Amino acid sequence: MPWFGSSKSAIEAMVEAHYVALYRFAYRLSGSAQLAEDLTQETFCLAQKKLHQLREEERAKSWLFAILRNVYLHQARSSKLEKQVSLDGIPEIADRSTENGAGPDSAQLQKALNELPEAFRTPLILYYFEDFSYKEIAEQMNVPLGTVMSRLARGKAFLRQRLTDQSDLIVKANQGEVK
Amino acid sequence: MECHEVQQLLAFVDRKCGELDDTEREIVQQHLDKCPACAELARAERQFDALIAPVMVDVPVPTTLHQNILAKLDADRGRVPWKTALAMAACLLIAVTAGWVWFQQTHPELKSADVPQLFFNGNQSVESVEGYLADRGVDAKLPGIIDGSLLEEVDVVHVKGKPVAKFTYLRIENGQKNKAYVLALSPRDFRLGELTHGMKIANMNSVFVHHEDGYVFIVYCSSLEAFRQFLKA
Repeated sequence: MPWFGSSKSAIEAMVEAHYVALYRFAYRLSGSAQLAEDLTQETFCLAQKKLHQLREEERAKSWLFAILRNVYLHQARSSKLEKQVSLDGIPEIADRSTENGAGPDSAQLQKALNELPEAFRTPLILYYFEDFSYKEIAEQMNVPLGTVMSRLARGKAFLRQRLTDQSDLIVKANQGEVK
Repeated sequence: MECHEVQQLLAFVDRKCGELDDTEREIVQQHLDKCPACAELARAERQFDALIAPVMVDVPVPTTLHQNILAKLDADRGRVPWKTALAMAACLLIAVTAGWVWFQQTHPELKSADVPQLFFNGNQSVESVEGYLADRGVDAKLPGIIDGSLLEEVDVVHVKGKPVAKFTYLRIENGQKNKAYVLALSPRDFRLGELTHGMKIANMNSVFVHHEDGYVFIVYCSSLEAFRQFLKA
């Protein structure tokens, strides 16, 4: 990414390079197109104000994602958007025996993600985006690497359980077993 | 390598971020080649990830988003953040308050008390002046450094709601009348430095502060030279 002298050029270069990834993250995090657009815009506005705090150009993407997550958490706290679903019953190693190979569609995936607490949702989204290493995810979330791995495993197990149940229903519906 | 160690590393094997080096990757693969249970686990993980990953990133981006972000950034550039605006307002308020306090200290509001003025012909004793004031509830003394024979008038004024003696001295030199006014602040009514904090004698063009026996005298003269003329030799 080019790194220009003026802050206006620098922030516009950041927008160009990262707005698509940020929007997609915001969408998966919030589950809403409108919220995702607001979060993305607010993230860049905050980045514009705090640009002097970014010391290393190569960390810009990670920095922006961390800002977006903080903005989301702030909004979620004030509007009580965030749910607190317990994952106590979900083991880290899920039962894979029922997998039938059918993938979920985008809405099914989003529905399952929406049921997850943010602490489990964020590592899952970032894991599948493949933009960041586990270490970078841990830094963004300000938690130890082991915590990220554990949340990721339990989040995947939860996702597998929810989506497998849904896939089974779809398969059964296609076979005429469910009306 | 044990199965549980390999299972922990499986999460890192297929990452594009290159979280395992070639050697580690090879060790994991060798284990998978000879361990059907771990191989099945790895296969299931890869299959699940292959199903989820493309769906996860399948989020249509609004075509107007890029322009909307740039417009919002432009609008935001001209706006003063509320925290900055609040800090600026607070600074302004502090500056105005400090200026007002300073002005009040250096230019006390004088309100004539409902007490008849006392005119002197230069022959009154110090005791008679201080007695006159004491009879009217005013704790005051004449400043010893100023030539008492030049005292022409004694008045009682209110400063911050408290009665204060105001002395008027007069000197005629080269046909010019020079007046000096002195407010006598008693330690009974005013905290030390309450009206004169930071002021020293001869530190301003027309206002001088003098301390004597716990009393503070604020002397108003037209100039330092005029002030000197009223001092005792």
